[in-house]
Amino acid sequence: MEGQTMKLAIALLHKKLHGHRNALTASLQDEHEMLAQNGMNQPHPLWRLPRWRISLSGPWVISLALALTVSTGILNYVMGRDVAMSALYLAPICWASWVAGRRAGLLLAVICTVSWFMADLKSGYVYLHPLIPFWNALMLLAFFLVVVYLLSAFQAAHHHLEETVQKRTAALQAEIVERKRLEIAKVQSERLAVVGTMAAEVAHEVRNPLSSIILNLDLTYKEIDRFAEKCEHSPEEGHLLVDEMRAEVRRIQNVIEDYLRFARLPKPQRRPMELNKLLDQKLAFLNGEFEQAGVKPRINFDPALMTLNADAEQLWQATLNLIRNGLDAMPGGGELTVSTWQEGGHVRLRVTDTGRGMTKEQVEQVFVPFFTTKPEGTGLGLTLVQQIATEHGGHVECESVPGKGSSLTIFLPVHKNPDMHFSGIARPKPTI
Amino acid sequence: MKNIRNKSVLIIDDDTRMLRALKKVLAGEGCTVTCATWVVDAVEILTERKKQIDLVITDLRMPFVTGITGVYAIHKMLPRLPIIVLTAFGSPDVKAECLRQGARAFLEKPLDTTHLLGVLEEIFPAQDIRAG
Repeated sequence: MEGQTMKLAIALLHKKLHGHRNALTASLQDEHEMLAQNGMNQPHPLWRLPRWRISLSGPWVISLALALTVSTGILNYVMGRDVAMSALYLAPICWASWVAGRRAGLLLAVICTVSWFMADLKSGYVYLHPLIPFWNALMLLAFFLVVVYLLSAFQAAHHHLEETVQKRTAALQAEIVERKRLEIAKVQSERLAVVGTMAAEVAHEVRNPLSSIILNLDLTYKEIDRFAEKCEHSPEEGHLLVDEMRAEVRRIQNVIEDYLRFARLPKPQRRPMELNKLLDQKLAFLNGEFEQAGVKPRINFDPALMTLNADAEQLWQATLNLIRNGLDAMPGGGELTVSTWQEGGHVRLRVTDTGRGMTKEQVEQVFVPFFTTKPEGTGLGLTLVQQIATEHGGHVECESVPGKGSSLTIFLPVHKNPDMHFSGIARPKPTI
Repeated sequence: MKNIRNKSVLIIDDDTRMLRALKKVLAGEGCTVTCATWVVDAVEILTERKKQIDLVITDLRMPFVTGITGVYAIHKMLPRLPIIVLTAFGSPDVKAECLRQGARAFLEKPLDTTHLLGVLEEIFPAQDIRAG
């Protein structure tokens, strides 16, 4: 298994040095699956030994080893001196030293020697000198002690190796997960950049004819007035039709603005800022919107929040998107909570609503560009939030319970080198 | 709208439909409208009738000579002539550049008549006060 780990590590290093990015993404996935298939996520049977030791406590091991010793002693006595039995004593000694440690091994070594000595005495053999059985027992004890020492040393080395392998495997897995996450984020970011450029181009092209349509609608409105006056006919029906068209044009315009907002997102202009202060100031402007939607706003700010080095405008843009999503999810009114706090190297900003919530499948897709649960949404709102969070070296998480509401949290790191976040060097480990 | 009645406006845009719609809107407000589809044509018109034009409305993305160059050239030629940039390809950087080159206002398409007339209203009293 260590060999496999090494091979994987070498393969990873090789890919890191020479591999193509896409190939790496695929191979990382393969290796991750390979790890899972090889049972590296599950401990190997051999590796379960320490757990076994824990599950079978020291006194139990010693008791069972003692029983084995006594049985061996009796067997030794029954078989007599002619049949050599002393090697059988190694079984309880080795077992006790491996499973319960060196002290237990030493204890068993002494007990086994005594047992052998007793069996030898009881056998009734007469030695040339009365001290010879004592000398033999001492020799046997010395042999047992050497075995215990060597075995426990080997066991300690094995344990150390096993721990090292486990640590390295965990580190490797964490690295794989982190690299995979960074790769996915990078690929998504590149894809979004292409989408953004295309969207901007299309949006701009649409804006020109849209402009003529709007001006012509204004002219048509006036024409209807004039025509109605001439014919002594009510202009209302005509106005209604023009207004309908205006509303549809506005809808197209909103979609375009969404696309452009997404495509035009500049690099964040980071400055030291107080998040609570910013939210306090900006939220005050939304009171009318809350009132109109029948939503009760709540704030829950941690006053001990660290100063962030961030783009205040972009953070507010992201928060506003979350708030508007929350309002859209509560057409019949409800409660919307904006909270901030600091935990695990991140400042967290959460917007919670008591709206209709989302299913697990919807939550999984919520950050996918163009995915939307709203009939008139573009599916770019939360992607923009995610993009802003990523640009700040953070990320966004979504939790939702159907029928109860959703919670979206922006994680913003408070590390000191914000520009290094995308290299994967200075970025803090994700909280997975 | 009284402020812009009888004003002479020059519109530069390569999109003829847009040009037509804008011309109708402004003509409806009592303006005399002249159209140009190229910056070069516009400069020629201004050279010929420099005293007769009160306002220039220009697009940015046009063939051969872009709107920003047009703004620069017109502003250099007639520094007191107000220029409004009307574009579908706006961004904060482009806006800043246009204002730096001498544009009085920067509008993004699509815009409606009310918005356009509001901007004209802002420009003309200032123009009149300055002129007086």
